[in-house]
Amino acid sequence: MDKRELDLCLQEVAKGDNSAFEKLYNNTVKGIFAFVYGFCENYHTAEDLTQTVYLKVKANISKYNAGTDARAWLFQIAKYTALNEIKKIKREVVASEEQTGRFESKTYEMHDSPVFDALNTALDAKERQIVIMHVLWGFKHREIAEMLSLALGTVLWKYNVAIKKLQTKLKEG
Amino acid sequence: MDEKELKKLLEKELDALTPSMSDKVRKARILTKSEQREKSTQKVDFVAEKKRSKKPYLIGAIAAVLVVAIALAVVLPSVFGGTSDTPATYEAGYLRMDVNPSVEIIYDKDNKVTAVKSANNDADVLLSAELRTEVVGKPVDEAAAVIAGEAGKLGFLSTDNDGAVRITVVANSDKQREEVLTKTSLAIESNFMERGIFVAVVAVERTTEWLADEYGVASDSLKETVQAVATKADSYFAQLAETNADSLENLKTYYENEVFDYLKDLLNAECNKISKTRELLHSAKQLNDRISSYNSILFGADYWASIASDDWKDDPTLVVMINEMKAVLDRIETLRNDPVDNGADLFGLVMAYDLFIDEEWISEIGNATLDDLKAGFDEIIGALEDLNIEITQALRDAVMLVPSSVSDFLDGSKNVIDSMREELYEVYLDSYLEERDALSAEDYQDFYLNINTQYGSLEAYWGFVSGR
Repeated sequence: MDKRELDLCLQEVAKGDNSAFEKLYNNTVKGIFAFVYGFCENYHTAEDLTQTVYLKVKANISKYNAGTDARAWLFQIAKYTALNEIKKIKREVVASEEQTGRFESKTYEMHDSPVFDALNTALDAKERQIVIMHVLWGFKHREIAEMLSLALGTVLWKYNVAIKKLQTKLKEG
Repeated sequence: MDEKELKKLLEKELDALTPSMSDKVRKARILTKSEQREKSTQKVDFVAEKKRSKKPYLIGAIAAVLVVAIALAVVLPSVFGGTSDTPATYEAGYLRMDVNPSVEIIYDKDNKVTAVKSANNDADVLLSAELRTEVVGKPVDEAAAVIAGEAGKLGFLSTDNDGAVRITVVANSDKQREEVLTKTSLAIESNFMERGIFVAVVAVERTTEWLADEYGVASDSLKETVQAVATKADSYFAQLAETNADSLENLKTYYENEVFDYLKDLLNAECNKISKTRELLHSAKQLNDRISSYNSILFGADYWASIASDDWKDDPTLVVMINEMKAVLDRIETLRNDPVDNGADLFGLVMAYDLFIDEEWISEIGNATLDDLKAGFDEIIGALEDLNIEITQALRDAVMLVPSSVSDFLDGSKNVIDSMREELYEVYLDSYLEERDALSAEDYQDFYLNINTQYGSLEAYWGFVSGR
């Protein structure tokens, strides 16, 4: 589903069309799941976060401005849903204040998914985000640069490095 | 495995991994505008919310204790020493807000702002004279929300710290600390929520000792420590310049003399390779023309038509020409397959390279007409625009050069590549310098040390990035 189709789909969802919502889910859930997984690296938490994102879509669809970048809107919801989860975990777990974002005790269960495995083990957070945004969400590099407040050169560079790392990791098996 | 294959596999894996829509989501109602408005205007009962301690952005009593346990580097004895929190007079306090930018706010016993300081160079940009004037005298929570809002408007809200706003508070009274943290968190979140932006606020409590350490103040008095913060140089750059003038200069010199030249050498090496391929393509074209001329009796069959059958093997002259052509094409292929993606500085060149030298182009080059070539120019302009490169008139002229023949085109394409290289080089250079200059001396030191630890040297790091 391209940007325009997604925009039209969201407009239909805003009118209360549940079948449009189903279509939206099926076309965007991979990007959402892959993105939020990077924050928690736990399948079940990522599963819950994914569902939470779509609950928020239903609750906030009226705030979506038709004709704007639907992907960016969904991406924003996913980002802050994930960040709020991290914040919640930080308050519930006794951990050092110096830890930022990632937690040591994670379970990793993706044994049958070598590419997804490589995405989450071989890449750093920024590289993973850029690859997910470009490959799964279809954002152009300059759009990614704007959304992540990075220089275009940095995004291009990190993307190339990330692809190399994935290729190397997959070759190692 | 190339990029396309990676994408295909990843999507296939995610098809299996991603969860189906839960019943809860399926059954949830899609809220209309009026329902959503009604929901968001419901006043939050602060006391009731605090008692429930369920909302993620409110710090309940239990959570506050946990946060203290989590956050304190040095725990004040009085926090756990059994002395109950008597309603003592509040003292002056300190709040640091990291959006990026990083801002320090000093407030008095009434929690009113008395001073605002920048803690990094982005804050120098953010804290205009007007903004400073606006927030002094305001309650600290309101001031923090205003500053965070301005940071958001200026595009500073970034993912450097996971997109969250972090607030660090130092106060001598538990009650004052909790009050400042809670109110400031709420104020910042509300400020953004009104504009439809979700912001995660991470609240951290610190001790007077921590603050005194940060500022090298030999005192355990919060009042004196805060005074020291208030009187330090207003601008981050000014501070850095005072203490690190030499190291900053050395850093700049190092980049300009060594790292920069290394990058330039890499770039030039790859451009020379592309130029070499241009020459080979020219040779291929000439050879192909010769084969076609020789094969006039065979309706001008060129190299590709010739090798479609084995007939050429019976003609010694043709064998020589065909083998010569094969050798040239092999050399082109070798160059093409040699890793050239040396990161962002050459990414555009790789794209340009592919535009000229993909497999279809090689096979069609003998049959290309001038119209075909002209159509290719639009593609080149499009590729440059996708890379966010300004299409100057000089570049447009170089690209739109109308050749009188295919071989002229091949010659002219070198000019295009050179022009593209210059443009891309400037784009990359600007980005690179911006990133570099944004690093503090300390950050650069960390970066440099990490590189050396992981790769042995900066040169080895560039080598890794370039794939050599």
